[in-house]
Amino acid sequence: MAVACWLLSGSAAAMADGDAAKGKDVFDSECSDCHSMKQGKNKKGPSLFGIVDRASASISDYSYSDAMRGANVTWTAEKIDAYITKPKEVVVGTKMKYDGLGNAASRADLLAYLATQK
Amino acid sequence: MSLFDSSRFLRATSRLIVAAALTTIGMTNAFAVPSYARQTGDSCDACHIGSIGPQLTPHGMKFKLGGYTDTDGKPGHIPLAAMAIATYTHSSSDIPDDEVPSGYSSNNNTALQELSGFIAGKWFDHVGSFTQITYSGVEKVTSLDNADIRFATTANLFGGDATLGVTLNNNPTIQDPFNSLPGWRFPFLGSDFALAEAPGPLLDGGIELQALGITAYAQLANGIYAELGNYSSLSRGFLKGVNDYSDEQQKIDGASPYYRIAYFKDNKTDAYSFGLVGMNTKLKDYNDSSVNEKFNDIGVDGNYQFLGTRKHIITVAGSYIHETVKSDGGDVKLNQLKVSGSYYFDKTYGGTLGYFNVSGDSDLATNGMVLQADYTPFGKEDSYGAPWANVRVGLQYTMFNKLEGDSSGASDNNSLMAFVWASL
Repeated sequence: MAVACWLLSGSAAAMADGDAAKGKDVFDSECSDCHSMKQGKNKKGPSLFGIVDRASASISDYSYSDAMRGANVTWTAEKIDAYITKPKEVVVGTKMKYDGLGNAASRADLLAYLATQK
Repeated sequence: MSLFDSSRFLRATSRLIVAAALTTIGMTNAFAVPSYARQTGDSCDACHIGSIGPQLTPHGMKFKLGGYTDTDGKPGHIPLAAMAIATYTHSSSDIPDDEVPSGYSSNNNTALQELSGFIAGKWFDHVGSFTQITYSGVEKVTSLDNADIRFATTANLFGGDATLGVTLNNNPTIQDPFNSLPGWRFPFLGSDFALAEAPGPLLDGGIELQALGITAYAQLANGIYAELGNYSSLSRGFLKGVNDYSDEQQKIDGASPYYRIAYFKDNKTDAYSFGLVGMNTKLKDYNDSSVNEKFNDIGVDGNYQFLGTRKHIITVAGSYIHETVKSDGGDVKLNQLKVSGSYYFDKTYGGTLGYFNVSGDSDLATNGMVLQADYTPFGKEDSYGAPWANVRVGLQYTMFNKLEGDSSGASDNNSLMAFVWASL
C-alpha cells in the first residue's frame, strides 16, 4: 500500500511537470489512430474530449467492452496514467489493442494535454 | 499487375517465360475502400500512408492481419465500397497500330481505366474480406480482381498476444501486410497504355487471379510473422466464367508451396519490417502436358516508416527476388530489385521515387525509375465527406534506362500519366 501511494504521488508529480504541447505530439503518435479529441467523435475508441475526471464507459453512443462497462472508475489523472501504462492489466478484458506507454515523461505530457481538452 | 505480362516483352523472350506471363486484363494494384473507415470509425489516414491506397501504416497492417474485422462496435455496417480511376497517358512514342486498344488512339489517351466494386469488411466476428470486382475501361472487360478472405483470431502464445489467421486469396503476396512484396508496393497504379513494362518473377503477378491459395499465418508478440501455404490453379471453367482467360495460360502442376517469415516492430513514431519470402511452382500447359517449367522464387524485403506525429511521414520499402526457371529448354535466371521512398506532408501532399532493376539473362536486363507526385485532400478525420468519399490526384512519370537488354531506344517507352483516383 505504501509503495502504491508513493507511485501515485510520483505520477501526480510527474503530471504536474507535463508539457501539454509535447503531449499533443504524444497523442498524435500514440492515440490518434483510434481516438478523436473532438467532442462526440468516436472512432474505434471513444472520444477523449473531457476524459480527465470522466466516469468510465459514460459515452452513451459508444460500444464499450463488457470489461470497461464493469470497471466503474473515474478517470482521474492517476487512473489514466496507470491504464495507459499497462491497459490489459488495469482493465482485464479491455478491447483496446494497445500495449502501453512505458515512458513516464511522455505519459505526463499526454496527461497535461488531455487536461486541456475539456 | 504483373511486370511479366507485357506483350512486347513476351515476344522478345523465351516461351517458358511466356508461360508464366499471361495473366489477365490490365489491372492495377490500387485500392481504396472507405467501407473499412465506415466500419471502424477510423479515418483513412489511420491505415494508409498518404490517406488513401494500399500503402499501409502499422495500424492498417494490424487491421489486415486481424481479418478486416475490427469495428467501432456498432451494428449495421455494410462491407461494400466502390472506386474509379481515370487516367491520361502520354508516351514518348506511339503505340504500334496493331496494339492500339479498340476505341483509343496511338497516344495521348484519356480513359476510365478502372471501375471497381469491393466486398470489403467484416462478415462475421472472425471473418472478413478484401474482394474486388473490376471493370476495365480499356479492355472493356469485367472480372474478379484481387480477393483475400480471412479468418483471424487472437491467442496467447509464448507469453504474449498473437494474431493467428488463415487467408484464402488469388494472388501470392497480396495477403502480405508490409508494403514491400509484389502484391502491394509502389507504384500502386500504372497506365494501361504503357508501352513497356519490366520483366519480373512469377511471384510478381505471374499467376495472379488464376490461382487459389490458402495460407496460415501468425503474428507473434515478439515481432515474428510467419506464414505457410499452398497455391493451386483455378479451373478453366471458373476463369472463363468470372475472370479473363487466355488459351496461352498455364496451370499449376501439383503443389505450389508459399512461405514467408518476417520481423515487424511498431514503435508508434516509427516502424519497420524485414523478411524472407519464397514460392516453388511447376507450370504446365492445359493442352500439352509435355510442356512444363519449374519456377523457384526466393526473395528478401524490408520496409521502414518514420511516422512521428504524422505531420511528416517518410517511408522506404524494397525487395530483391531471385528466380530460377528450369525447363527442357534450359535454365533462365532473373533477379528483380525494386526500391521506393516516399515523403508525405500533412498526410496530404506526397512524392515518391521508385527504382527498378532486373538482371539475370542478358535479354532480361531492364532498369529505370518511377516518379510520382500526388495530392489527397480528403481521408482525414475532419475531411469533407468522411468516411464516405476520398480522392487522390497525381502525376506519375515512368522512365526506362534499359529495356530487355537494350539501352538504345529504351527511353522511347517512357510515359507520363495523370490520374484521378476516387472512392466511395
